[in-house]
Amino acid sequence: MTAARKFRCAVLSAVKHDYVARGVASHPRFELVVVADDPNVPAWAHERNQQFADAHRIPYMRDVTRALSDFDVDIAIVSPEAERHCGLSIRAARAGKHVVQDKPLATRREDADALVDEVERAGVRFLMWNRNFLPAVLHARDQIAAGVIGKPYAIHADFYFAKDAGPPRGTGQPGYPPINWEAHQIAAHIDGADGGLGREPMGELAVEGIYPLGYIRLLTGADVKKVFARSTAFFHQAHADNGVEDLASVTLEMDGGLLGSIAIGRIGLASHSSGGEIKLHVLGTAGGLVISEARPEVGIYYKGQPPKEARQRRVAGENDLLLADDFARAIDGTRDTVLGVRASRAIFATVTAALESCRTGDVVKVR
Amino acid sequence: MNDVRLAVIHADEAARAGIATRLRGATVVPWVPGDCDAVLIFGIAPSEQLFGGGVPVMYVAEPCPPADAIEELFANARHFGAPFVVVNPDRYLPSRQLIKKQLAGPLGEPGLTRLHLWEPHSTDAPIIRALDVILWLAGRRPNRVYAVEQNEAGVPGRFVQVHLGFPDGGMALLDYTNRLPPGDGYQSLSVIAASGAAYADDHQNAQLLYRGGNAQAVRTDERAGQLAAIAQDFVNALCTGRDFSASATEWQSVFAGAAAVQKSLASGHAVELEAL
Repeated sequence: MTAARKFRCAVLSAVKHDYVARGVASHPRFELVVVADDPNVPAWAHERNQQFADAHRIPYMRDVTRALSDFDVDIAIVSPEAERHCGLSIRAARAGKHVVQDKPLATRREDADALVDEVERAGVRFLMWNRNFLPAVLHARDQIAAGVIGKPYAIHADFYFAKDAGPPRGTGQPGYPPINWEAHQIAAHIDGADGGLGREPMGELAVEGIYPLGYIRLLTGADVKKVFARSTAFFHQAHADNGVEDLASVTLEMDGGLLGSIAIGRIGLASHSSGGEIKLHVLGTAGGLVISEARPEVGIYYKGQPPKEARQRRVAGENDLLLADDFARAIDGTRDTVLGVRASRAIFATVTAALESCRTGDVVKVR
Repeated sequence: MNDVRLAVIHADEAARAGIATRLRGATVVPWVPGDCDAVLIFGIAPSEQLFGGGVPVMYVAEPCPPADAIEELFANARHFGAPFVVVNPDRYLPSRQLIKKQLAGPLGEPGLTRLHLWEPHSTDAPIIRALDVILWLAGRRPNRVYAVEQNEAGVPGRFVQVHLGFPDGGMALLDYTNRLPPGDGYQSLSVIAASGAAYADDHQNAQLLYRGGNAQAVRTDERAGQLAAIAQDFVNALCTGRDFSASATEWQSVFAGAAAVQKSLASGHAVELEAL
């Protein structure tokens, strides 16, 4: 029996979420061979890239083009600041490399469109990192596919991260300058609260919307046609100072008359004892399904437990491995990944429309 | 007012007895005109004769009458000089009472309220009652309403989704269906507030039953003390001299919200709701 081909991976910037690269590397068919970034990125970015390279005992090159060519790379794992996502992914695709990218897809519509064009022109595979292979989400998928609740007609996702993000709203002192978004995100890296790393401020819809919208897409396959959304900077001074939301809700009108909604927020550590309430509610012609995304889980409680430690610990999760496996199968075969570039573009468009709806107060068509 | 003589009118004698057993600071008496301090009436709209006594009347709106009927009741009560309050029994579910108290305490101001309400059939006017709970928890009136509905030819029942925006940026989502198959309904209420969150979910409160095949989830009922809680609140209000006049305004807000839902459904647009 011939062993399946092993894929050589370049990590194109590890400044934001190194869990993407680590997740890919958790699969035996993927091997990290080099970290690379552009020479002109700031010193802190070089430092993080070097640390990641050292931790994985691979070289760090300040030259993306050479790294992609000299290391016989098959795959680029892209996780820089948000504004650089599309640029690095496009360069990798143009070099004929398959791409795994961190969220968000893009910060501008034209970048997203250019990425779709380049991935399709190059004929490479694209995977937006997501949570669609968590056990509870797969359970929901299987129940729906088996027809247990009939044909779905409504679907709702709650996606709350019980995390703080700097000083609470209302703590800004008169006369002080607003919190600098990028500097705040760089500092927040230490405790993983840097979901919106980039120069341009991003709210929760842009940063995390991919997750609940990814679930809805997985479970229904439907495109969102229209949205109505509300948002507010309710919890954190950094969000209030920079005019982006940390709490939002979106009504979704989808293909085939399917309706739905998402509720999303970075709602503070105190709001949940185990990272946040994440749930799916699906209604079908033959019944309904209520899914807790965290399950299966185990309760762990003890004296002196740190406040930030989850009381309910998730178990049996293989999301990383299964995502990487899905990517490998897509490369080997003819089908797309679980969240390919067109699906990711559709989610980006939904988020963009939702943000427009928040600004205008009106229903907005998804383009 | 001490040891209130409270006339309780309820079609179910066992329910009336349950209230009498639990009530403190009051004695439950049969309704005899001129022989009670206050009247608590369940389910049946108060008559002019009942208002004629001039004593405070609390009407538990289950089923919930339409807007014009409630307005007429308030007008009648005013005519006879009877303090009058209409209550939604859903507010008195222990989970709702706890959340309301916590919002006034450690949770702080609500930012996002989400209510899923699924039934196998329509009870009375569940969307009105759900709107009332949401507005009561929010403590204010929305200024933006968007609603969508899903109807399928040949499929009985409806699915309605309501999205509310509040002037300070707060928001609420409600989805209602009466298309569940025969059997249990489902409710989930979550409130994301300034300093924390509350989650009251039938999912968390289900017990498991094993009888072969997949386990069944059986909801643990929270309604045992609901009626007595309504009566106790009424008695407490009487004893402390609470002003009942807010009730009419609150129902105006609820019915204005319901009218905006209908307008949004009809127009396909988000509807602006003016302040009262």
